[in-house]
Amino acid sequence: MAFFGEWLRRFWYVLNRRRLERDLQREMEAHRAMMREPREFGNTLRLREESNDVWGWNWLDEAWRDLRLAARTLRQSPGFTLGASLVLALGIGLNLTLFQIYNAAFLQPLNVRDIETLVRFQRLSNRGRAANVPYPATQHVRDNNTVLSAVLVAARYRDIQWNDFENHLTAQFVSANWFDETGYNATAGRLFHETVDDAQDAQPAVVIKESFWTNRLNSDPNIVGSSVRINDRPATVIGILPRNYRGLSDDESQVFLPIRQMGYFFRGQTFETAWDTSSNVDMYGRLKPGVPLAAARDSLRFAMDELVAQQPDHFKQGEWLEPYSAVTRLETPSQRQQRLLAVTGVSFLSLLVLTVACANLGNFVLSRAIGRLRELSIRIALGAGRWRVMRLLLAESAMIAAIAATIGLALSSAAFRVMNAAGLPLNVTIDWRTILAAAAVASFAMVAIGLLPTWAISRGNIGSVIKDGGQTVSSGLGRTRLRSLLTAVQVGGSCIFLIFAGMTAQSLQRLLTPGFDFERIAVLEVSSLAGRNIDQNSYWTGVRANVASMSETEDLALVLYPPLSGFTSMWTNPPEAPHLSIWVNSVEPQFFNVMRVPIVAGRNFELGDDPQNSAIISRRLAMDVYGTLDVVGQQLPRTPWPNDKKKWTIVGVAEDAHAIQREPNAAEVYFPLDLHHTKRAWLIARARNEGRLLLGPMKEAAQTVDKNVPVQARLMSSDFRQKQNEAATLSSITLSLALATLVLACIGVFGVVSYGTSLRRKEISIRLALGAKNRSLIALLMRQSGSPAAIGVLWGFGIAYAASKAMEAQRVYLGSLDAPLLLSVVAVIGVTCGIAALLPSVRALRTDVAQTLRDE
Amino acid sequence: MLILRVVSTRALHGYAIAQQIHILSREQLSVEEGSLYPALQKLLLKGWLKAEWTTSETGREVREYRISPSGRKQLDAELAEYRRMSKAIDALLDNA
Repeated sequence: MAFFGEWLRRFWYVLNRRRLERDLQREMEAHRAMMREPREFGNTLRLREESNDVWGWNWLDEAWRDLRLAARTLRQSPGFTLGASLVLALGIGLNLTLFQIYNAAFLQPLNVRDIETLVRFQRLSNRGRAANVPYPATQHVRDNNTVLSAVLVAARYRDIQWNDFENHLTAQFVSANWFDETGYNATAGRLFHETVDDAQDAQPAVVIKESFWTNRLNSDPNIVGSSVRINDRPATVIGILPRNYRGLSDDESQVFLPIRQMGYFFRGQTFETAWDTSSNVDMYGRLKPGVPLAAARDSLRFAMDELVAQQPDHFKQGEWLEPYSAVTRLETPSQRQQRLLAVTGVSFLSLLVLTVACANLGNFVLSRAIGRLRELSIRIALGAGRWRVMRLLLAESAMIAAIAATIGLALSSAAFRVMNAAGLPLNVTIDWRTILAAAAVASFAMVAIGLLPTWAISRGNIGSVIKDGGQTVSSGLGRTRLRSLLTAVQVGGSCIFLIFAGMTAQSLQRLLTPGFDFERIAVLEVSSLAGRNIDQNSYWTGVRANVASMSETEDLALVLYPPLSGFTSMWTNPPEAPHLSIWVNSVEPQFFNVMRVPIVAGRNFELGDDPQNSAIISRRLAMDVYGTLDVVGQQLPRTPWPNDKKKWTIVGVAEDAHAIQREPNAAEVYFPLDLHHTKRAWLIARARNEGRLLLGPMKEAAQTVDKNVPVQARLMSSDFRQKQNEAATLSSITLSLALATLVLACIGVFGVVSYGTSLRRKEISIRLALGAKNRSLIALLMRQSGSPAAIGVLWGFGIAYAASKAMEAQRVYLGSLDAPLLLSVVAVIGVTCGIAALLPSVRALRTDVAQTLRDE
Repeated sequence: MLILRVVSTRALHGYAIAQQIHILSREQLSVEEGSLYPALQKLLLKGWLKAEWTTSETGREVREYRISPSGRKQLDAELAEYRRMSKAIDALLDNA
């Protein structure tokens, strides 16, 4: 209690400080006046300071004095202040930008009501995992459990036609309780409610996102209540979803529709009764109060066992529904691991940039502090105290860090404005977390850059500094390994970014040379025919005949996974070439002609080929696994799979078409398409003149065969452009980072060499006076930066190698870390750092020898 | 303790406190101004003294210090402790 009272009084004192100090002064003056010998009172000012010191607030005055002095000092060297602030601002700005992306993507909890009781379910068995659950199964679980108060479902569709919009929208079909359970209210109008919208024959309703309303519908004030056409069916816009809606996943859906009305928007859809994967949805549940996750899992086993008994074709014995809590972002352990990897990667890059910036600035400040050794030593000699001088240097660092943090914040928010304008789906605003992060980064920078010179000064012998103007001490400091270490850190950092930039450029390069011709190709996407009373073979025969009869069609083929569509399937890696990733596809013989993928050995598929027995492999697979292109008649896989007798005979070898998957070690296997055993196929057609001319007629051709099957048509080149944009964005981001860090590294090398030359002015002048050659002197000076740069390149390579291996393990492929790339990076660093070292060396040789020797 | 003791009977200003200590100790003790004012500030911080401006008998404006209830408690505790120690030391000196 006494302690609390004392702090209250201290606080009261600081609030009334000026008045109380005046009181003390008056009191002392009165005391003096009453004394017979006022001179015996002593120094009033010193007594006042000692008395005020009792209250413990003198440090405030001292800090203020330090800051004012630091501001004055910095104002006297505007070049240094501006340079140092900008270098650090770059580091801080980049860090903040990365932090905000990280914050938006990973730190913010799901914005939903009662997060503790919301779970996502996935199907698990001893054989594997399925992220989705067929819709009828979700309804069965909903009606047959004792642990859930609600079941929520959602299914995302990318091919929604809104009125006559040119581009398709992404829509989420959700259960009618979706918004009530996630806890959102409409900005205007209303959202879905179970009582109104949970029926097939309910009024067709649509909810739109506020961003869609403002960006695509020009904030039409009369939108709520208006009628629109979705997939050519009329529906009423009933409400607008607030801008901050993030739902249960950060998806880009712009439109929300009731899941019970899926059959209305996709005519003939048997979604509610299809037990296969065609009716797969994301399944969520709301746990009843007090039900733990494990109890929910156990309790739902009964419902799952019933499903196994009722639907043995679709549910296997021993399957269960595994709940994942919204508190842990509804993630599975492997998703969490991937997120951690991403977080580690971002943090590493972020820290690296900041370290490079700080290292640079440390170099700057160190050089400057050593240049000021004489001034600082005189301050100490005049009684300033070593700690006082250190405080002054720290105050200077604090000011630079504060200026840099402000500029960094501005840079970061400008970067987000550019990103938002470019349409990146990042809803980032500067909030308290960002300010806190800026303060933390700035404090880190302040300590990092302030401690170096402080440490250097504390090691200096002040007496000798005053005598010889800092020559001895600064030479000693210059010899320390610190500066070399800082340079190595910078060069290493820029080396890592250059390698990543090179790898992303390789990835872009691979995409730009896809190994097939995607121009003039139209793709017809047909919703799954599973669950519909349609004979797939006759449907496709009809569609193919209609499209083939069009005059614009040059050739066409049915295919299981069209290139660049994002749909793929993968085999296990072959033991003969474990590095290879094998991507499988089922195609009609015309596929190779349509895609302009040449057959380089053997033959193409023929109509009589048995889908269970024939295969065409890509050149890479032939060469890596069989060591030759002469593989016709050989068995695939070459080493039979354990416990599996299935094998195929190779009939031909096709050229590599690696843009199907962009990873460096991809190879392809093709099988004849068997319409009887596939649930879904796509039609690709090559146009004689222009692919666009095929889009409309292709859709009509499909609808002529069955108007109830929803179809979409698009150009393969638009898929390509989208992938190209993604790759180009990534490439340009890493390239900008690489350039920024390279500039920082060059500044660092420049600083080291200029500092070294300034220390050795006397030596250089003597050597010059004795007739040393310019070339040998330049080599001598540049050598200073050689070994730190080499060490930097080595550790940079090491880290980049480890990082690329870690990414490969997570199936993230940028490019390969090969010899040409490494050599290019060494060349770039060598040339740029060489120039940075050369400039101050050449300048040092231009000194007036006589003048320098006289000065020294 | 000395300062608390001299202001325990009546309010005194800084000069008077120094004088009282000097006189009451039969001129054996004197408090330097350099120690007096930091000590007064410390006692204010602890809450054992209260200070207020007033006019002295000579018409001069002075700041007088008065003991607070918690100061009085502190004084009693310190006096008891001092007396206990003093007796112990006396006993030691007499009997050694």
